[in-house]
Amino acid sequence: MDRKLSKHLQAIAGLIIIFGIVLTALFAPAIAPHDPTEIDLARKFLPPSEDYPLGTDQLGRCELSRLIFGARHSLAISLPILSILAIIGLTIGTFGASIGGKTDRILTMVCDIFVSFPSLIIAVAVIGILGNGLENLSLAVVMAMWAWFIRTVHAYTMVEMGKDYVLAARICGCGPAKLIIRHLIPNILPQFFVYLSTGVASSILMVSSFAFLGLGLPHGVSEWGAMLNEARSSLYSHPSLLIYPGSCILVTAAGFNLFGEALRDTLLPEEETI
Amino acid sequence: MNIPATVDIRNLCVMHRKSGYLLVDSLSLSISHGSSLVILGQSGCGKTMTCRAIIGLLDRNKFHVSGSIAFEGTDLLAMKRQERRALYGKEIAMIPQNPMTAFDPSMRIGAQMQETLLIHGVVARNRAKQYIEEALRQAGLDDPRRVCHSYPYMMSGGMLQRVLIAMASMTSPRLVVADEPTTALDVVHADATVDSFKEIRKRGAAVLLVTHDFSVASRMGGDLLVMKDGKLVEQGRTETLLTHPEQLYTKALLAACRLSSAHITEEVC
Repeated sequence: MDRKLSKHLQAIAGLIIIFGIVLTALFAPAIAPHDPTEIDLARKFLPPSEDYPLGTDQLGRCELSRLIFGARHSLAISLPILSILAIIGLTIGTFGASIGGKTDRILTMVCDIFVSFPSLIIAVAVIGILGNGLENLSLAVVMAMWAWFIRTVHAYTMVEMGKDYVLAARICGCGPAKLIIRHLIPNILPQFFVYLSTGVASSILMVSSFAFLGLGLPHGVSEWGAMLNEARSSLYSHPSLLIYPGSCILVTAAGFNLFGEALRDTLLPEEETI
Repeated sequence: MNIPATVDIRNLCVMHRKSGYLLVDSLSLSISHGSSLVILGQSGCGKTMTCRAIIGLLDRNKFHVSGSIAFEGTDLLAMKRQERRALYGKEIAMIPQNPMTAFDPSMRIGAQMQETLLIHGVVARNRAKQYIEEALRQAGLDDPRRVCHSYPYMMSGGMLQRVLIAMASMTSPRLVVADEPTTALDVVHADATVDSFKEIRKRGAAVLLVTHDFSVASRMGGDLLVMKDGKLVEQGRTETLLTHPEQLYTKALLAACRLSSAHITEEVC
C-alpha cells in the first residue's frame, strides 16, 4: 500500500502541508520570533520588516508569531474533536445500519432532528449552560456535529450492506460484531477518511466562528478564525491582516483534503479493475 | 427404517408481507446425502427465494416463511439465530450468484478463507494456511500461495468461482446450495463448475443447484425439479424429465431452449 501511496503526487503534497502544520504547531515557541500575546499599542499596524516579518496587528502583536501559535490552537482543538466524532460515527453508524429494523429507524430519526438544529444554537446552549472553556467548546462542536457523522457513516454502511460480500460473509457464519469490525468498517474507511479530512477544515472554521462570538476561547487567543474576525474592523486599511489567517485556514484545509482524496484512491482497490 | 434425508422441505411457503404475493407456494422437496437436485425455472419463479429460505437469509420482517425445512432431522426455521449461524459455512455452504462481488474487496483471499475456518474452529490457526492452500489446489488453482495473497479485484471471475467452491467445500459441508453459480461465467468455466459440484456430490454432500440453464441441468444429472410462479411443476430424474417431459410448461421450456440453440446452429452454418 505504501508504495502505491507514494506514487500519488497529490498525497505527497497533502502530507507535506499536514507535516508542516503539525511541526509548526509542535515547535511554535521555538519558531515564533515574538510572544504572540505581547501588546504594544505604539507599534500597531507596522508594515513587514526584518524584526516583524509579517508586520503587526491592531494591538501591535507580531502577526507571524500569532499565526504560528494559531496552528497550535486550531489543531489541538479540531483533531481531538474529530477523533471523538469518528469513534461515535463509526460505532453507532455501522451498528444501526447493520441491524436495521425499528432501532435503526429511531436512530435515523434522532439524527435527523439534531441535524436540523443550527450548530450555533447548540453551541450557545452548551456553553451557556456549562460556561466558557476549551472542554466545553469541544463538547459544543461534538454536540453540533455528531449527528452528521453518524448519518454519513450510516449512508456508507447501507451501500455496503447491499453488496454481495456481506451476504457471503453471513452465509459463512459471520456474526454481527465480526461483520462490522472485519468487513464493514474496513470498506467504508476510505470514504470516511475523505469525509474526515473535510471535517478538519469545517471544525477549524466552526471553532473560529465560535471564538469570534466570545464562545469558548478567551478573548485575545491567537486562533486563526478569531484573528480573522478581529481583523475585520480594519478590512479596508489593512486587508493583509485578513489574508494571512484566511490563507492559513485555506492551506490547512487543502492539505487535509488533498491527502484524504489521495488516500481514497489508494485504499479502494476495486476501482482499478477496469 | 430410513436414514433422514440431508434436507427435507415440507410445504414451504414464502410470502411477501407488503404485497401479499406468494413467492414460493407449498414447495416440498428432499435431497439425501450423496445426491443432488437441480431446480430449474425462469427468472422470478422463486428459485432464489427457496435458496434464501434454506440459508436463512430472508428478512422475517419483510417475508412470512411457513412450512418446515428439516436439515438432518432438525427444523431450521424453528432454530435460534445463534444455532443456525453455527451451521452456516460449516454444515451448510452456499455459493452466491456472482463470484466477482462475493468477496470483501478490502481483504486478501487467504484472509477471507481463513475467517470461515476460524469462525467454526475447523482447524487451528497455525495450520489454517496449509489447509487453505490444499483446498485451493484441489479446486484446480495451480498457484494457491499467490491466490491467497491476491485481492479479489486481481482475479478473473472463473478463478474467483473456483475459490468460492474451494471455500464452500473445505469445511466438508453436508449440504451445498448454489444459486445460479454459472450465470456470470462462460461455457467452459460453467462446465468446470458443474463438474466440481459433481465432485462435491461424490464426496457425500447433498447438492442443491439452482439454474435456468438446461445444459447445466443435464450436465449435473441427478434429480430435477421444474418450478413456475413459486409452484412445483414437475419432478423426476433429469434424464427422463429432459427427454420425456409430461407437463406442458416443461415441454414449452424445452422447446424454447431447443429453438434458440437450433437458431444459433443455423446462424453459424
